[in-house]
Amino acid sequence: MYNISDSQVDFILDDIKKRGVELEDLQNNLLDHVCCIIENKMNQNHNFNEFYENTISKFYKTNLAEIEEETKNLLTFKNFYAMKRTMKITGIISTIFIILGVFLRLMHWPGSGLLLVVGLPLFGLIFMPLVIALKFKDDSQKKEKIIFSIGIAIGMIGLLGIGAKIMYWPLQYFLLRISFILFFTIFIPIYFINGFKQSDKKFNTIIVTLFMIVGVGVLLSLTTLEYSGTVKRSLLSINQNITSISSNILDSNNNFIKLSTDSNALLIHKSSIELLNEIDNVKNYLIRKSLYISEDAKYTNTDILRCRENGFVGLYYYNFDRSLIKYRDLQKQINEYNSNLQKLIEHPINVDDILVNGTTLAIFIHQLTQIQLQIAINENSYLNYVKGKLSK
Amino acid sequence: MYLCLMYSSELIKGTIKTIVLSLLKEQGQMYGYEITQKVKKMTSEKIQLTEGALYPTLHALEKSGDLETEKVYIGKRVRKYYKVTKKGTETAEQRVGEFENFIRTMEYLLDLKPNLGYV
Repeated sequence: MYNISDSQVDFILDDIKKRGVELEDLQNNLLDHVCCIIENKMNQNHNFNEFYENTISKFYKTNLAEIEEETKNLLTFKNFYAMKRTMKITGIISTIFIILGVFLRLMHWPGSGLLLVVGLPLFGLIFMPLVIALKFKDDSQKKEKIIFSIGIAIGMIGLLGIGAKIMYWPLQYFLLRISFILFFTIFIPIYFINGFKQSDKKFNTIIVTLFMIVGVGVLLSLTTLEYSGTVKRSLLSINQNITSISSNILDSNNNFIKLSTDSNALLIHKSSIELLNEIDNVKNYLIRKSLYISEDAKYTNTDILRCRENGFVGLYYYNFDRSLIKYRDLQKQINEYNSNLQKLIEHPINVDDILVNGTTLAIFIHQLTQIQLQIAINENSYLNYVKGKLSK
Repeated sequence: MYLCLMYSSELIKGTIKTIVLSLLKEQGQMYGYEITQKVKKMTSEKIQLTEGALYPTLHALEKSGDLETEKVYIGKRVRKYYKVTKKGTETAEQRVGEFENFIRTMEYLLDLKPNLGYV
């Protein structure tokens, strides 16, 4: 049995430290282990340095510090391997789902909704937090960990917003705006200042910050795009045409009804006015709610185009279920109108034809305007019939 | 990955905690080098625990409360003796039981010992 000297023990301990093993417990364990091997296997013919080098090199694959790495991983995370596996799996699945989902969405093919609804949360809520937990496990990186956690949290809000936008869900603009504001006012300054203060990271920080600002800026302009000018003008012109046709017809109706004594004509007129007013009320309510303007403030037709929130889910968002109740009341009233005037009008108003889901609020309001036109036409055609009778 | 020689690492991966716990349960207290030597001898060198696998496992088991340690000074160096705690004994029994069950399943699954009832 070889007798190992104190200076040799010091030499080995020193070497283990130099090789990057920092945990004292592990240093001692490895030291004792090497010493045991040397004491048991080395004989007087061997050269100590050579034998030691040979022995220690069998401890690892690339370097000794990998044992420490492995130990820390096992110490920090009870389920380190499970976490790593989950990270890999969720990373791959969510990436595939998101890419496929975006592709299907671009092609307007079905199935993209499901893929994105699963893919985005998987990515934002499971994959990214695991990346942070596993990447920054040392206390020395605590600051970086916090900064990246903030970044990821903001990113998650943004992802939710993008998901909501793709799915036409409520809160999309709110989530997107909040995440952009937080990104530019909180994350970027903290990230930049922290990196800039460290001389070795200064240049890198500047580059990455610029990339992030440009990247997120482009994303911001893409996700908050309004209708294009052409679409706006077209919608506006359709709306104006219909409104002016309506008001022309209503004018002539009003002029005639003043002279009329026909009881049915008066009944139709009364029902029409009631329904027209009710539709105006609902429109007014929705527009004000979606544009956040008060009861007495004025708005123009152009403003209506800003009601971009989609469908009735959007209405829910503005005033929870009150919008929907208002719309249901309106439906009831339209049905009453149909049944009251059953024999007098040629074309009852078909409530089922109104597109409620999967459309924008502006289009929904536009449909209400079309119904108003239909009401005016219904009254007008009956009045014409009365006129025809009178002239005979 | 860290267990090599005779058996493929894939095969033995995941059993190292079971091996260490059950060995310490039988043998009382041992230190790292001693464990590797004992396993080597008992398995006729078919299973050789590498340092890279053994020490991370020992540290993790100590942290989880399955093992307790005692430090003994040998000249200038410190030797850490490991010993199973009450919790460790339970873990060892549970893990060995699980492994036994696993082997039986594998025997049946891979048809190593044809189940007579099904012939």
